Amino acid sequence: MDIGITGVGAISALGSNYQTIADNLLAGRSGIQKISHFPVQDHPSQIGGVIDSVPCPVGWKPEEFAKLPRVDQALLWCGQTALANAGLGEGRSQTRIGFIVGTAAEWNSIWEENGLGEGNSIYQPQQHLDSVVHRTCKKLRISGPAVSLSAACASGNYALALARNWLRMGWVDVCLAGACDMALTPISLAGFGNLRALSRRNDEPQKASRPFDRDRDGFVMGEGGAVFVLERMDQARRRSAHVYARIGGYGASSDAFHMVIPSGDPEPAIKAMRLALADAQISPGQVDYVNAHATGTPVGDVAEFRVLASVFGEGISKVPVSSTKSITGHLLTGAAAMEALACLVALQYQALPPTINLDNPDPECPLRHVPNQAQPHHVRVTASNSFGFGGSNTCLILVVA
Amino acid sequence: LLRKASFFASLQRTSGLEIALTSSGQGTLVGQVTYYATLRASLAELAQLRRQPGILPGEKIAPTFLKHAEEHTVAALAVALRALAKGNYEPGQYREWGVLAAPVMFGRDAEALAMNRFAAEGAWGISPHMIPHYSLHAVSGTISQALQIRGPNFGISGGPSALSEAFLVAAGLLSENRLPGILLVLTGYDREKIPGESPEAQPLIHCEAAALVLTREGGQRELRLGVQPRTHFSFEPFTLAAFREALENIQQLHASWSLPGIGWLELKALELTGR
Repeated sequence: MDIGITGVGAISALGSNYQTIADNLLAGRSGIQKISHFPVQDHPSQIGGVIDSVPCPVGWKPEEFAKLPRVDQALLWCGQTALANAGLGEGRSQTRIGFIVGTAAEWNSIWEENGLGEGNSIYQPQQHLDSVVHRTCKKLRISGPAVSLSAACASGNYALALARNWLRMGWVDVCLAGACDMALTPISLAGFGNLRALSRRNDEPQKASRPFDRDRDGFVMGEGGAVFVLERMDQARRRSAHVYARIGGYGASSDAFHMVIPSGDPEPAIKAMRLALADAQISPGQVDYVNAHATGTPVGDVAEFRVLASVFGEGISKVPVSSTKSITGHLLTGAAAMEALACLVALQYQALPPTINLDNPDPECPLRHVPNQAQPHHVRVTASNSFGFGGSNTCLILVVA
Repeated sequence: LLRKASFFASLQRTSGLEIALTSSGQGTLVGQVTYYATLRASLAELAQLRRQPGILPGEKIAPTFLKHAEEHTVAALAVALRALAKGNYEPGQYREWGVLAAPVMFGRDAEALAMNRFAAEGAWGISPHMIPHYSLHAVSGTISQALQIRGPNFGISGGPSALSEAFLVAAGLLSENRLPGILLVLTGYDREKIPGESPEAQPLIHCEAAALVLTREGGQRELRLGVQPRTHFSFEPFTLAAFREALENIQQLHASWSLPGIGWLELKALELTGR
């Protein structure tokens, strides 16, 4: 049973709808800026892909919306606009709609946001009756099964894979799936900074995220994510919905090596990619574009090159690879979903979003890069790698509908 | 996928116990709960488990492995080791499984500590272990690393509905029929801790944990996991303590709980006819 994507809702530093984000991705327009919504003078990294404010969705009072935690605002925005984009904004009372969202920092960010506002909700767990996914379901008036999950940066790929399963099992008619986090908070910035994972190129924010570049020095945090509407292809065709892409396949594995550092053994990540290709019944030579996980850390980008080189063999010199984290920053739990969106952009516009700031390609990552400018390209199949803390490796294959 | 009728028919033939989870929708997924284990540990006992979570033939877990781990992670690894030990598995048998972990209110203690340190010391007061060990991926990632399990691993919810969500996720993964097994671990406190208080000051608080080895098919069947359409019965809310007690008294058991927004979960002892 084929499953397609028929709606997209998204928010990031690049914009708050699919079209704006697509335009900025293809223009290679960085969303990174100096962080100004909290003091950063004693943080090692002081830059990020910041969302200044989440737009208030139609039907909501701005003053009520503003009272919601930021992660609730972002997920409600993404969910509501995704449904509207799929033509399911109204008249869906008989439709069983599920919701699967990747989000890791929900509780941490809510407690922190509340604590910085002089609240003490962290000491009152009895106040916490619902997770953000359930609160959002109530606001969207959808009553299907709903879960949140986290495999760190790989979460979005798991969410899409699980949604495909629920649709195939007949549990839901439609499933919202994606990932979103609003983790650019003082404590998480400090946590990643003290891990020495972040770029310290504070004086050049828009030059700081530089995957595969010889002068990369860590990743740049971003926030936001994307939510997609998934449904059976036959159902989508019956209601004449626009289908952005078909979910071709996914693969997943774990390094079982270290909570942070990618394994020196590329086999587990290679396995994830090969499982995804097998699930999609696609050969490596049929892949037209790879959206790499590449975050811009010295170790991680080289490790991913080894994975790609093994999966594509001699074809590695032919398949275009880019990392859109150079433009968006690293959306952490929201990353895989935003990069699935970048693949939809490649499929829709027949153009490859670039890796910006790729001024001196690292000779240890000899790939067919898409440096600094988008390139027109015939794209029918995309592969999006997302690896995460905890040793997670995932790959999502999207195919033109 | 099987319809409800065939689901119960198959249970009568082969299962010593059944565990049925309902959900809205038309399909019923049937899986095996091959082995399980439970744990109830005081905070003082958790401190001991941190150094020695358990012993499993063929596995070496260093005494410092859990040094930075959140307490849910300690309980989860300990109960996972117990479940695997019951199965007498060779290490190679579970290397390709998946690991799912559903902790309730995960990371609250550490976040409270971090907030206090941040207020006092600023950014440099935040531990570099905060993100790797106190975010939702940490429990499953740690188990994967400890036991060299290389299938998918991820965390579920981390909030109040983690236990209910866990079964929906596990059933969805089982439906693929791609993994030889799934280790599903549930953890939560019987009453929530007061962050920053010592274990001695909170002697009545216990961490509850359960680990289930789930397979789509299995030779040695003690429990079955089924997912079937929602019914309209009203049962007691599902709690980890009640689930643990049910598993521990499984011979005379027939219990059902509601899973808010999902359906219901049933656990029932049956005559053994197929073993």
